[in-house]
Amino acid sequence: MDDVQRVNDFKARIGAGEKIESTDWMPKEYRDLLIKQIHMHGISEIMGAYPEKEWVGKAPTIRRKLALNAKVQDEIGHGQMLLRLAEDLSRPYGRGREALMDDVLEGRVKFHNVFHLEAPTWADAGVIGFMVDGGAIITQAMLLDSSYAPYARMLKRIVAEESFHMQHGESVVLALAEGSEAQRAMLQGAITRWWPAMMYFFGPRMMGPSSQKMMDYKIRTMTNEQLRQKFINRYVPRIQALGMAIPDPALYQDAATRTWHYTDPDWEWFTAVVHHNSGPMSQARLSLRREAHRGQQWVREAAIEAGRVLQERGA
Amino acid sequence: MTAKEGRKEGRKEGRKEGRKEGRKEGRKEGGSVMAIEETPVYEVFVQADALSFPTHVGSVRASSPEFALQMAREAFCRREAAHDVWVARADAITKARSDSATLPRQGTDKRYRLPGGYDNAPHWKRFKAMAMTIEEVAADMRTKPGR
Repeated sequence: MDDVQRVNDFKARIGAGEKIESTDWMPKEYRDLLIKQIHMHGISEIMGAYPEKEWVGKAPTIRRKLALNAKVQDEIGHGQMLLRLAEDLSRPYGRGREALMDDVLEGRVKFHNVFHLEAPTWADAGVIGFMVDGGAIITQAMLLDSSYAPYARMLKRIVAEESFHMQHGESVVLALAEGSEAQRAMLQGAITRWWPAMMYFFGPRMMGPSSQKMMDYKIRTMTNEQLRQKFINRYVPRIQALGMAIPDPALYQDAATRTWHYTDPDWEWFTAVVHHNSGPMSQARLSLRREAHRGQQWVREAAIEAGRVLQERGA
Repeated sequence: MTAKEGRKEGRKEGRKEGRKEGRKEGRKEGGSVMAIEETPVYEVFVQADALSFPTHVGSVRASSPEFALQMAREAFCRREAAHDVWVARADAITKARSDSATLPRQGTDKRYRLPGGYDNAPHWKRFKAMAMTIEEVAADMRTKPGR
């Protein structure tokens, strides 16, 4: 157990709006919450590349292909930056990059529900950028003020790049919305598929104990429900403006409280998907990850070996 | 032992251990010779243009400074060009926060050191002349002489 006085001093620092650095003393509880959050975020960035990677080869034009390829590169880059942070935090546990990467292959870390699902059409690639990246930006914009400074700083870079993902996704969505009946139907299909997943994306209405503690430590500053309301409020008018339907007959905004009412997603199903990797694409995506990890092993080895040779020459 | 010798020594040891580990564990499933976490952390600083200060952007792990620069380019410079990129081993950096006595803190009123500490505008006005600001002087320097 950490010294009570020390923990209280730390909480007072957080309360006063101070920011924490990786080298500062921190209670085990704070460290563990950060690892949980940043590890899951980093791994989700990497797993998020796979549904889109599928579409790089099948993108309809060279411009779309270039943009999607850039986006996939960004996601992997974000994963690397975040894993560096998770790695610094995990130092007292003696867990490095390899262990943190292996965790996803061995089911010890979850990744976002949306990346367990199918992306069967080109409209799905667009809707992922429009709604999933858009939703992620809402969460990440909240985290820009996180009490953990290395995370908040890194998110500045990440959000700047994610905003390109969102713009690109919107551009694909708009092109389809302005297109033929078949294209509009394809777009509607993707929106219908992704809407319930986006309702799950921000987490349960009643937050679990660790999310609550993340609020206490100001790692995050808004509740799941507040984030979901922001998302609905932003996306409903836009989707409707495109003449698309939202697959929720119970969706309406209370005129007095401005609160959106919505149909709950299938919480149990989605929770099982993220906990047991039992979604329609979970295992396929994990095996792509496994293949990439093993397939690129010789590159990592060569880089390390070459570095050693260079250093020896210099010595 | 000089610092340089120390580094050399450490490198040799790390190498031996890395090899042994690799044979023992890493190899079992075609594992790596040396795990990525055994390579040093380099802090990355990007200088946007000649007149900007290099700014810390994050860190990478790499087996040599040259590789650290390549990793940094991939991780942090996919869009904007940079005037320069610096990498420095994280363990070579000493931070003031680790010894609070060395940390510059705002103590007494230091407005006397800052341009905002001087309110000249109302006085200039009394002389029917305009106050100057550094921004305006800098803008003036960008216009052609004699205009």
